[in-house]
Amino acid sequence: MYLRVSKIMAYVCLSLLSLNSYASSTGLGYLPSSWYQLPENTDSQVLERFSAKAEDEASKLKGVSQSVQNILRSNERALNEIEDYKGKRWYLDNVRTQLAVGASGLVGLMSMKGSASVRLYWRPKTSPVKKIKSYSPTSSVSNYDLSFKTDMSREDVVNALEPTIKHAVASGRIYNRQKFRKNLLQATTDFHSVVSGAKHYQQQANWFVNGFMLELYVTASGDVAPFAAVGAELRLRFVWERVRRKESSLIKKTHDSQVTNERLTQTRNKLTVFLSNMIQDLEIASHERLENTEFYLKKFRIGLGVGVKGSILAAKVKSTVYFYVMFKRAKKMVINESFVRDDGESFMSIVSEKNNKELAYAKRHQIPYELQEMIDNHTPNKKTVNVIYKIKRKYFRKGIAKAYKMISFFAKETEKKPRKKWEVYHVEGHFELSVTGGLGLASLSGIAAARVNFYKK
Amino acid sequence: MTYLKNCYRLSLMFVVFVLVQCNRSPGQYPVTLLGLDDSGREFHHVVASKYGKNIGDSLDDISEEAIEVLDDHWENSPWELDRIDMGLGLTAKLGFAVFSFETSPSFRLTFLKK
Repeated sequence: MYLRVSKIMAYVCLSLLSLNSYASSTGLGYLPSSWYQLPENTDSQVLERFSAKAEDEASKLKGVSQSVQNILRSNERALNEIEDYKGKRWYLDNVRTQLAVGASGLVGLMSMKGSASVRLYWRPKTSPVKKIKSYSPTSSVSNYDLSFKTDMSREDVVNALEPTIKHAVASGRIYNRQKFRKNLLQATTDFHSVVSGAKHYQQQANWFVNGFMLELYVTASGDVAPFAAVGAELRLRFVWERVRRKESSLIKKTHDSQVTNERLTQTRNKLTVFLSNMIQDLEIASHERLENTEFYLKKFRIGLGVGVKGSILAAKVKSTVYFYVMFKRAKKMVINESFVRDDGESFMSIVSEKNNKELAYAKRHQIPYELQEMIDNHTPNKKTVNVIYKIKRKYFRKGIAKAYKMISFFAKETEKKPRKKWEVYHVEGHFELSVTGGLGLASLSGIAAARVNFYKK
Repeated sequence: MTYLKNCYRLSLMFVVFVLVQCNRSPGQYPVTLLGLDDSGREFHHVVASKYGKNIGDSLDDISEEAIEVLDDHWENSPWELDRIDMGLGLTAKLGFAVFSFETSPSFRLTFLKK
């Protein structure tokens, strides 16, 4: 009997040993919790947690490094299988792969329905793009249906919209065509008048406003709204490229697109203030180069909401995003000492859906907030309550600095091994905004935490 | 009888061991796949880096086919097809010690006025 028990125990031990060796050999990499968990979700007592558990962080990053290296190696192996096929007019420009972060911090290659794990980009050889390094197909500027320029007149905008209206109607998903046409023209020209009239020229700054993006959701009955409504049939994504011209000529050209109603005027003025503050935040938080890598932070995109009096708010969740603003950093670095001076007492507002856990956290940590009832014009009976948190800008700047640190980790990983045929020129990180103003890597919810683009050498 | 029982246990142990080893096929450079299943629950799976070659073969086929088709459809219109991107959703199909990919492609065409 004793012998039998011993044998069974031996089998069990052997099995456990085998399973253990499996777990340890898989190279699963888990990020430090401070990289992806927001303070309100962990009930942390501190807002800034870079230095917390430094040793633990280093140990975890070692595991993540191994995991990311394996993914990059596997990707390169896959890409090397692509023959250098001689197309007459087209070529495979680059291949994007996406990394995701799980709820426990596990890092892996994104693999899910609905979201592309790998994306291939072809371009015509006659494309005006000359320098491959300068072309960065980020989601902020590439995946759009129509682009406008901020110096276009209202009439130009209406004319440019016509083909889109025809295509949308031809899809057969919209039955009230007149209403759709009226609503789309109204929403687009209103937005155009706001962004084309906003002044966002920070003197002597490396960062500047590169453009805006507006997503409009269309229902079958012809309603058009910037938020995804139930029953939305179409999503239209429009981009406004900012034209850098002398202010006087811009005002002259866009004179007929200037806003005439009070609400839009307020929004435009508050957008101007917000953009100036954001550029200041980016200037202060920026490093000259991503820590010891060949990468520079070149673009920054943030989703914004609009408050009841036209106030501009940083949107915490997708459902509160009204539009996006894209910032770009100039190649020529200039240092403006005035940006370095930080009074640390200015505030910014963050809008989020009402969430009891977040509210409780804000109360405990004395983060000022106010509730704001939102009424959807298309469904007046349905009221939603949003929360606007008021945070010190210095915390937001720390959040940006933290984002720099995280994305530079991934950038460094791409530089560890020399590549034969393909090179990584573009790394992109996606972050979630905390009610404290901090930023954490977006964890798995249909969006990638990081994107890596491989280009042919 | 005891001998047979032990043989049976040993065989069972061997099967378990082999299956675990098969499942750990990740080999030298295992790659972690991470995603949400149909019910929205998170899953992860570790696969061997050799899948990189399989995916690479597919990408090569897609690239060759795409360029052939694109070259044949070069139209002279006021709108120029500026860019095509194709997303490949790699969905893990999990089985016991068996793993395969299911791809779900999506296309996006971007036109610019000439």
